[in-house]
Amino acid sequence: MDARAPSLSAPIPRRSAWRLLLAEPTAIGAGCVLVLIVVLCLLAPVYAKDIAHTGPDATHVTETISLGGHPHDVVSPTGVPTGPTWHSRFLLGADKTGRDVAVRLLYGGRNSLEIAALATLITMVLAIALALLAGWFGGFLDTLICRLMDLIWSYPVLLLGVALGVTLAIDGIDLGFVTLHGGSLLLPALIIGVVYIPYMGRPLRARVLELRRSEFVDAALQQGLNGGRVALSEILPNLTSNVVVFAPLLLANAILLEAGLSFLGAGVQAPAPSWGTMISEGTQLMPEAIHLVLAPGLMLLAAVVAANLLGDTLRDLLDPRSRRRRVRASARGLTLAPLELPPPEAGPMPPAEPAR
Amino acid sequence: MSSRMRSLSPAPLSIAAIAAIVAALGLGGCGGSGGGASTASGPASATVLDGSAPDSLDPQVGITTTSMEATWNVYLGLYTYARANGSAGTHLIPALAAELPQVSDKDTLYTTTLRKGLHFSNGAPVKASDFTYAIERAIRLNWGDKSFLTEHIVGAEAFDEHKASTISGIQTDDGSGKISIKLTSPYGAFLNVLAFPAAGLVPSNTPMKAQPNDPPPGVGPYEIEHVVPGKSFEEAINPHWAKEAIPGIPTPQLTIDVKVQSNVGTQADEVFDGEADLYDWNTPLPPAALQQAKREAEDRYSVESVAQVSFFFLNVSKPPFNNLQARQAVVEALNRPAYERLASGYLKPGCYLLPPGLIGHPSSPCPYGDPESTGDVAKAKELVQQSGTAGEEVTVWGPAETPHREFVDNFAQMLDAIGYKAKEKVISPSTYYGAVTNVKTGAQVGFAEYTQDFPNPVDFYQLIDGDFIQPEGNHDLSLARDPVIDNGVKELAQLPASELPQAASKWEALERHAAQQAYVAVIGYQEAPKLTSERIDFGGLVFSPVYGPDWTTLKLK
Amino acid sequence: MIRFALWRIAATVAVLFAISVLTFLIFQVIPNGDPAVRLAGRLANTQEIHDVRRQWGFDKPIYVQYLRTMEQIFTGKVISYTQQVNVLEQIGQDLPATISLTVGAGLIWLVVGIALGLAGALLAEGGRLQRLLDRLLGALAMLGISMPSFLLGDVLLFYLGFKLHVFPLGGYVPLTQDPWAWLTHMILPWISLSILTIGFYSRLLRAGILDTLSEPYVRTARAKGLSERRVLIAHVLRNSLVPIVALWGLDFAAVLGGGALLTETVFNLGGVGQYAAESIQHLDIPPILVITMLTAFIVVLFSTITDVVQALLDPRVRLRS
Repeated sequence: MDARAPSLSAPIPRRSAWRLLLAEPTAIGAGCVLVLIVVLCLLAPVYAKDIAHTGPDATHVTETISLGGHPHDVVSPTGVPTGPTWHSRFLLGADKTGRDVAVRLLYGGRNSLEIAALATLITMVLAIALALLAGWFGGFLDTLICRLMDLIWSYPVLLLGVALGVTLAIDGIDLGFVTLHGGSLLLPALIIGVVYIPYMGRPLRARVLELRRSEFVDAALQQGLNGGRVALSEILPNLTSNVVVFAPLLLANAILLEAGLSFLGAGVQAPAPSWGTMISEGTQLMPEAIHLVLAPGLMLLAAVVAANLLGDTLRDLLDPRSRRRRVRASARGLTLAPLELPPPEAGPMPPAEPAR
Repeated sequence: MSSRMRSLSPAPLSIAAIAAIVAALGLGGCGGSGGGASTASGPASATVLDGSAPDSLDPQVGITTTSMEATWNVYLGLYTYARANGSAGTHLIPALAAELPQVSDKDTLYTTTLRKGLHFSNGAPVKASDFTYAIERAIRLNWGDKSFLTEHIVGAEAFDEHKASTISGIQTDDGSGKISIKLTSPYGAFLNVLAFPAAGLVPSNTPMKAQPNDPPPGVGPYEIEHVVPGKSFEEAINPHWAKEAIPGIPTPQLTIDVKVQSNVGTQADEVFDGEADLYDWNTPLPPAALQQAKREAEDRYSVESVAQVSFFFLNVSKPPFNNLQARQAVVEALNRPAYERLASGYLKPGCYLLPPGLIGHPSSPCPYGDPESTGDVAKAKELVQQSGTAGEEVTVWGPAETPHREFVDNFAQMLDAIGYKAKEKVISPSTYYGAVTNVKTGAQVGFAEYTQDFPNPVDFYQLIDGDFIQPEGNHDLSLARDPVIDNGVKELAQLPASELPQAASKWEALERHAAQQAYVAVIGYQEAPKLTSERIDFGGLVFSPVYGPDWTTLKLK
Repeated sequence: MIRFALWRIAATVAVLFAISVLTFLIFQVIPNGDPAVRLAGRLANTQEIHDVRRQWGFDKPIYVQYLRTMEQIFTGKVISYTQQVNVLEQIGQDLPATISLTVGAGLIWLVVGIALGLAGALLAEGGRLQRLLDRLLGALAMLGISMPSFLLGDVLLFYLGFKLHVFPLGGYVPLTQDPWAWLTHMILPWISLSILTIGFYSRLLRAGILDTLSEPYVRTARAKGLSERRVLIAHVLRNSLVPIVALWGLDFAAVLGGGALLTETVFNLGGVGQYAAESIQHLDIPPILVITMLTAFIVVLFSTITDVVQALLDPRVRLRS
């Protein structure tokens, strides 16, 4: 079971990491693509209002548009939506309910990215907290947290996600301090966030254990500092580079899982769009309207590839075992922190259990 | 680094891999023995496709149209529907009963006689008491519509509640074949109830347990064999059928292989290519297949009406739809042609609760706008303003299935356009009806569709009849309590089916009143595709308005 | 070894117990999810719903319901709510499709993944053109791990199925019925399912080989005058394959246990994964319970097998208990 859990090792100084990153054309390219997608999606209201002249949920089933002077049904009498017009209205075509696909693509991107970002944040916060608790206090708490993560890990990811999604979509969930409604975006974010906790929590816990035994922590404790404060002041900062490596990879996985959940009807709730729900709706109209699958599909692919590339490069740069890092660093004349012994398995970080 | 190395032997890896594969194939062996190739001997067979599996092939359990389509030719009861197209197919004819019943004692006592010399498909003789057993079995197995039995037959309720060991209102005599049924009060649609496959006779020694995978013997042209749950089953010609010679029920020529194919595109392709012979009428043809059908299969494709109504219920117990003007506004603004397109053309726009073709459907124009128009949003907006409900929040409920979810998208947009703040609540279809029929849920507006249990207006009117309001399993989703409707239905429900045509004008008056009050915003009536393969005699295939295509009339050209 | 076996068995039982409880709880909290309402039919009245509730035991306390369901599962009598069929029989019928998918895709992603990983590593050590090819392979692998299987499946179905009519439009034909049709129906699902894993394995293997090549013992082996081919196969590949084997076991197990919900649904294979997806849509608890337990069981089983295989392959790995 441990084979999938990635392993992490010593951090390197943050500033040199930044400089290394900026020297990587792939990283810059991937970062630009991500930023571009985010900006486009943020501009969704502007596009909708000033270019497409319609909202994301506005239906135009029985309307016609003029294409080259000829009237053209937005949705045909047999229910087939128009394909891309390459005009300002229905640039990428319409969906079954006569909604503008381009507008929904941007709004859907907002939802998809928002969920993915929130989920990533949730995973990071909870994984760090659990890893610190387990790694620092050890004993029963450690066993408990590890078993809990094992449980989530051995539960089939998609089954767990869809099960939670379908059940919670009906009436939401009351967490005591906050009530999430069935249609809330926080709901899929929470589900995805929880599902990926072990993916990040396990290697982080191992890292905390490692740090716990290190000399500087011992030194701090011998100075009579409070244990909890040492954990926060000495160990937490040392987790930064590990966390940074995980962030883009988690983001990529979260986008994919959101799409998977939505594809099975357990993600974003109607009428709100997301890339996953759009692909799912398009699949139902498959041979007639492939644009409904391709438009959100390509957008999703671009975002995931960019996030994965970014994560990959970051890891190459921050991972002490990486050949690329050593080569790059020496080429730039940088010195790196002394390397620790690599763990038995080497190689790129395994993916989180995929939604297949 | 340790340099303690052994020479690599690839054995462990490949052994594990082979072991895994062997184990996997071993499992495959015991699971894959279900489907056998059909044998060449015996009568020719036709392949019928189902979009979803029947909920149960046990006649006293099955409740979906898919089940009843399969069981009504296997489990004949005392009466059945004439095997005819259109409204002729709504007429009841004697099946296992020798004649239509004599009704006496103020329309509450039905007496009839069983035909002589009937046999079940396993060869056992049919007894009059098997009828009682079938009714008791439907009640004990909690058949979904058992209230038709428990509410109308004397003693059926006591039997249901385990207060009696048999139904006191049903008397049978195995010697003479005489059967008499006593009703609690006159009920005009009782013969329709007796025509349900659930009232189809099964031998009295059939276990009092659902038998969906090994359905019991019955009396009918077919018998069910080789059930592979959720995947396929066969209907073979009942070997004893030829001897029964019941007039009006055709003798089948083909055995039927029923296959579940949930992908409608594949379903259509299989019928076009001749791999299968009959497309499932419950699933509209997808657009590409529809074009292909119109282009290449004109002589074997048609659209049939099935008494069904699609509507949005408007909850009159809550604002804003406790206001007549608000309800009127919704109906005025409905863009019914849009719903027609969302349903790929398989929806006939209309404004009355009763589908066309059914007795009681008015011919007069709709009270609020022409159903063929795209709706008058401006007028509706004004009405909403006048009603003082503008700006209220409305949550539209709907099941997450195509095209109903699209209906909900469109409806919510319309509510926004006429001055409300609409939200959507689209949930799993399997929980949807449970949620909205629970009064506690308090759904304001929601989509609903209703397919008749039997062709009688009374069956549709439970949808807006205050007497059908109940905390769970509520029928009157609008919670309308209108004395005109409640009393009208009470009176009309007592008329026997034979007097229905004379009561048409009374039903029509009720219809106009209901449409005026706009308790439900009717969108239209679902229609069904009839599509066969090239080798089938298309014209000869009877499409029953109650149970769809009659498989006994499937013939090769 | 016995301790290891006992420990694994105990762990498996614990995991299965926890998973079944969790699943049961998740579906128990569903508001409006009352199975009695669905079982009673669409227009059932309160009395009928009550009858069904009593008949199926939904009125009992939750732990009684749980124990009853578990008893039914282990005596092979568990019945689904929607179709009211025996769940284990249903899974038995769905298994051939899932096994066909798993075995085919598992072999493809193992063989192609290793081949591409090896090729990448060799090319990376080569000249300019070779390095360019390596980068191309790397880009393809990156695309592979970023592609959702259902998107790829949709696109393949559209272009190769609907447009070019090269492959059928989904569905499953048993191997015993028509081997050729079986193959044509399986090829697209295999591809859709494999791409992601191929992308990942090839990256993992490539990096592993490159790392191992710089290890001192490889240099020693080379210095001893062993042929480059022998060094590569006997020393480098063998070590780099260890994590692949471990992952392969887990991936294989996950798909075999019905984990490929999306692929099976897109291609309408009617396997265990699709059964799981459909059961979730219908909130049909018994099949969901059985399938999650099945998946978890197979995953634990295969992870044990791969642990053993790993220990045999790599002397540094010890079986832990």
